[in-house]
Amino acid sequence: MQFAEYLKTDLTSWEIGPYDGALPGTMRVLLQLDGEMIVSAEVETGYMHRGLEKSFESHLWNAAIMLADRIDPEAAVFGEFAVCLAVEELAAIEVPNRARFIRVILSELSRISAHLVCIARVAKAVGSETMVHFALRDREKVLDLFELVSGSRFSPNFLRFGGVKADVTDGFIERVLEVCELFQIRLKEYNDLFTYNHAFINRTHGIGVLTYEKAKEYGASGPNARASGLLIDIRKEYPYSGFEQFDFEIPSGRIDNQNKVSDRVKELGDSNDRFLMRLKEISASVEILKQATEAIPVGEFLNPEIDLNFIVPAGEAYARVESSRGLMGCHVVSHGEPKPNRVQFRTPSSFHVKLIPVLFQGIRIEDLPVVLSSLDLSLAEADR
Amino acid sequence: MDRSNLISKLNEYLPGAVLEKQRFGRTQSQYLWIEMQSIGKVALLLKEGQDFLFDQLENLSVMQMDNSLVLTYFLYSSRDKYNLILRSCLDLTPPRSQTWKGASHDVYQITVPSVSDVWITAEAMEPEITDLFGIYFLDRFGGIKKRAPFWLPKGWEGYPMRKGDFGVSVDMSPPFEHYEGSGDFGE
Repeated sequence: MQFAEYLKTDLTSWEIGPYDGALPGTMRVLLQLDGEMIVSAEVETGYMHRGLEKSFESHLWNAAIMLADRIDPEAAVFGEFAVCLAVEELAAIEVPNRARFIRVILSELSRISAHLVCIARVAKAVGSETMVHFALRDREKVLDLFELVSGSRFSPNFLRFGGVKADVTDGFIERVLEVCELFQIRLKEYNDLFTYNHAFINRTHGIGVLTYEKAKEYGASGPNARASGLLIDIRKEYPYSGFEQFDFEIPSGRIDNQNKVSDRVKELGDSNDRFLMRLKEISASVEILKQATEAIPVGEFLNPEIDLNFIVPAGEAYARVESSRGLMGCHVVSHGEPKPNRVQFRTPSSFHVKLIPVLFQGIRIEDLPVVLSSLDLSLAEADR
Repeated sequence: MDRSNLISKLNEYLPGAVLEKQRFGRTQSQYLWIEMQSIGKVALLLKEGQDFLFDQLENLSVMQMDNSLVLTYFLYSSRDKYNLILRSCLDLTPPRSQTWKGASHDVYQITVPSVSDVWITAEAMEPEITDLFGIYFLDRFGGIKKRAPFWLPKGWEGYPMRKGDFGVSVDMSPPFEHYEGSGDFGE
C-alpha cells in the first residue's frame, strides 16, 4: 500500500448557522471540507422572511413607505426611494426640484453609512479592531444627520409620494458639508491605517475571486459587480431624481478610464477589490453630496396635490434605484383601490447570496468570514 | 437589433408563442404575452439567438389578477442596452369545479417550465415564488425542481400570496408544529 493512502481522509461536512457570528445574518451554510479547504458549499436562506411584500397588500398606500423602510434596515432610504419612484411613475406625480435634491442627499448619506458598516465588517473579519471602531465612529456622524433631518437614526420614513415629509432642518446643509470635508480626511486615514497594510492585503488579496463572467451570469450588481469589472450603475444607466445633473464617475475597480481591462484582469474581483470599491464609492458619494448641497434650489418640498387620502390610479410601474448593495427594483401594481394590489422588490442581496457556493470553492475555512463580509449581504433584504 | 422586428422574428422562429403586445404602464416599453408552455423555448431563443441576446433576467415578478397568476419576466440585453418584458398567465380555477379550500395543496399545484437553465439568476427567485404562490417550476426533464430555501414556517400549508378563494387553503391555527400555545394568543 502506498504511503499516501494512509493519509487519505474523507471529506468532512460542516454546518454553520443559522445564527453564527461569522455570518452576515440568519442563514445556513453547508460545507464540504477537505482538511481546511472548502470543496463545496450550499446556502439556505429564508430564516428572516417577514412577509413584507404581503404586508404591502394589507395596508393603505401611505404605509408602503414605512414598510419599504424595513426592506434593508441598514440602508432604509433606498427601499423608500424605489417604491416612491414606482408610484410616482404610475400616478404621474411631479416631484418638486428641491425634494429631488433632498432625496439625492439622503440616498448618498445612506450609501456612505452602509459602506462604512461593510468596511467595519471586513475589518472585524480580518481582526483589525481599530478599523472597526474608526468606521463605526464615523458612521455615527452620518446617523446624526439622519436624526437631525428625520428624527430617526434608522428607518427615517422620510420620503413621500411627490416629495419628502418635511423640509430639511436649519443647519442640515452646513453639517452635510462638514461631514463631506471630514470624510475626505478620513478616507486618507483609512488608507494609511488599513488599505495598504500588508497584513490586510495578505488576508484579502486573491481570496473569493468573482470573475466578470460569473458576476454577469449570477446577476451581481452594485459594488460587487463593479469590483469584477461589470460597470453598471443605475444612477448612470437609468438616471432618476436628477442624478444626470451631477458630475461623478462610476468607481471601476482596476479598469482604466477607456474601459479596457488591465493586465491584472485575472485578479479582478477578489475580496480586496470589493473592499476598495466601497472606499471609492464613499469618495464618489462625497462628490455628489458636495454638488447637491451647493446647488439645492429653494421651493416646495412636497407636491401639494398629494394628501393623506391619495389613491394610486390603476396601472403598474417598475422603478430601479442604485442601492448601496446594487440594483434594487420595485414592481408596483394598482387596481385603483386604497391598498396596493402588488408591491414586489428585486433586491441585490437575493442574487449575491447565490454567489456564495461559487466564491467558497477552494478557499480555506478561515477566509470564509472575509469573503462573506466583502460581499456585503443583507439577509433582511434577501428574505424580505 | 432592430426593436420593431423583434416580434416578427420571434414569430418566425416560434410560431404561436407570442400572443399579444401591450404597453407597459406609462412607459414606452412594450411587454409581450407569451404562451406559458412555450416560455422555456422563448427564453432559450431570446438568450442564445444572435438577433436577441437577452443575456440577463433582471427580475421575475408574480401577481394575481382575478383568478389567474401572472408571471412577469424583466429581461436585459447588455449588448444592445435594451429591456424587454415577457408576461405569461396561469389559470387558478381548480379542476372539476372543486374549491381550493380544504384541499391538499399538492393536488392543485401549478407547474410551469423553469427558466433557470437559461438564466441562472432565476434560481434566486423561483423557489420563493414556489413557496409563496404555489407555482412549481419544472426542470428540462419535467420533474419539479428542488427548493433550497424555505420561506414559510414548518407545517404551513397553503400559499400566502394568493388572494380570495385561492389563498390560504387550510385552518390558520396553529401554523407552527412546535407551538403548544400559552393562551396569550387565543385559540
